[in-house]
Amino acid sequence: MMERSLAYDRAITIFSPEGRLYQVEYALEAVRRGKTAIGIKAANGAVIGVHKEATSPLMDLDQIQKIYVVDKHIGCAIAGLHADARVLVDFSRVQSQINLITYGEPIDVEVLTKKVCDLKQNYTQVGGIRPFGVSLLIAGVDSQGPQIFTTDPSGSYWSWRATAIGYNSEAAREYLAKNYKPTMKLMPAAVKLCIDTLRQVVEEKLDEEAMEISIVDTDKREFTQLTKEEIRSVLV
Amino acid sequence: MNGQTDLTPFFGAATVGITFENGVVIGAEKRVLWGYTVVSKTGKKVFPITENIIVGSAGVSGDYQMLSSFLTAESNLFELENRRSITVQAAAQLLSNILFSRKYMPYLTQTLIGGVDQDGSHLYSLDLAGSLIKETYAAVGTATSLVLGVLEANFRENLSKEEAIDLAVKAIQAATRRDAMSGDGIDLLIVTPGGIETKHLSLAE
Repeated sequence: MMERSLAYDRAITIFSPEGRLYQVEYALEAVRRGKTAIGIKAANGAVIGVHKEATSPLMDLDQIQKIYVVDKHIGCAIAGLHADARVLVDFSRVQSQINLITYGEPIDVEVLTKKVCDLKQNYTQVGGIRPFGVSLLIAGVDSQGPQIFTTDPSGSYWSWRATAIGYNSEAAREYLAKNYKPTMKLMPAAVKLCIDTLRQVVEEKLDEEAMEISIVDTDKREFTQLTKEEIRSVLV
Repeated sequence: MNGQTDLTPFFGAATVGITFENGVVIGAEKRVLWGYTVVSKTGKKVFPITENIIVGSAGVSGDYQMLSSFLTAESNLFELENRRSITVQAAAQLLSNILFSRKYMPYLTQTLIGGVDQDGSHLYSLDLAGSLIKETYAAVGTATSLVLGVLEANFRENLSKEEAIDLAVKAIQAATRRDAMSGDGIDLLIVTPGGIETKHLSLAE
């Protein structure tokens, strides 16, 4: 098994005799080792939460952004290689503006997700390149209401009511499945569930310093980061 | 004309658009010119784009035929990609972008685009470089001033469908009597939330 597979996991992405793409699977592993990110769709909006950790006491966590604003109404969290993610976030931002110019309307969340995944898919089929080692968790509000999507390195994407990517995401999804209600309001119920889930899967007593939470609601349709005070008000 | 070709005869048309209480009517006559020759009395200058969007044109017939085909294709692709139909505003903006992208070798057309979506009924006019203007009533083609004279005397907000159709016909008839470059019958497209209706009238008096 080991010997057979070796020839198929080198520089380019080609099928193994078992029909697998090893490079893509290794990229998925990079995602699994990424920091946990949680996304929840509420009745009136969506929330994304990520775990934030200083690898050195000298690190200025306040200046580190782990959730990216893509367009006014869309944002995303990432799990995996940060440098790869930046490329995709830049791409998403440009695609959003192209949609705005072309149609005079903000881009739908699924349309954006699909465009990102078209790019990702390309990087699993073309020679001389490697797949993106990153999954995006995209949240936004469009004409269909609040939306949560995830993408993976293969270029597949899924729509969710609540989900997690990155480290311990299986446990997070289990916890979400037990506690999620589709009727829950964004504030404070969905935000609280988001924080509870993070605390459940990250083996620490997380406080507002160790997380970043962003929301987008169906009224204002503006993707905004919660302040530490706002997070604290939900924590108590 | 400063050594330039006079394009006026190519824009021979009396094309009119009127919004009414729950829809839009766009109508045009059927004369097609090549210079000062009438090459067709049965030309089509109004086109359905989607189930709820229509356009009316003036200009070089090949150009507006191609343009409306492109717009139909783009609208179909939009619907597949977005899993919802394109809004009138988005289709108009897209048309504006297509026209502007060809600013230095333009489609020689003037266009009215109208339709009905969840935000109500809309009408826009565009020139050959893609200027996009929202209107409640509008006209394009050589007979523009003749048509607008009739519209401005009779248009008001929230006309009924029948009143709007009558006004469009009246305006086109008035224009064809005095504009040598339009005539030979009337085509009308009417959009309401129920869909698109087609009407054909002769200009015999």
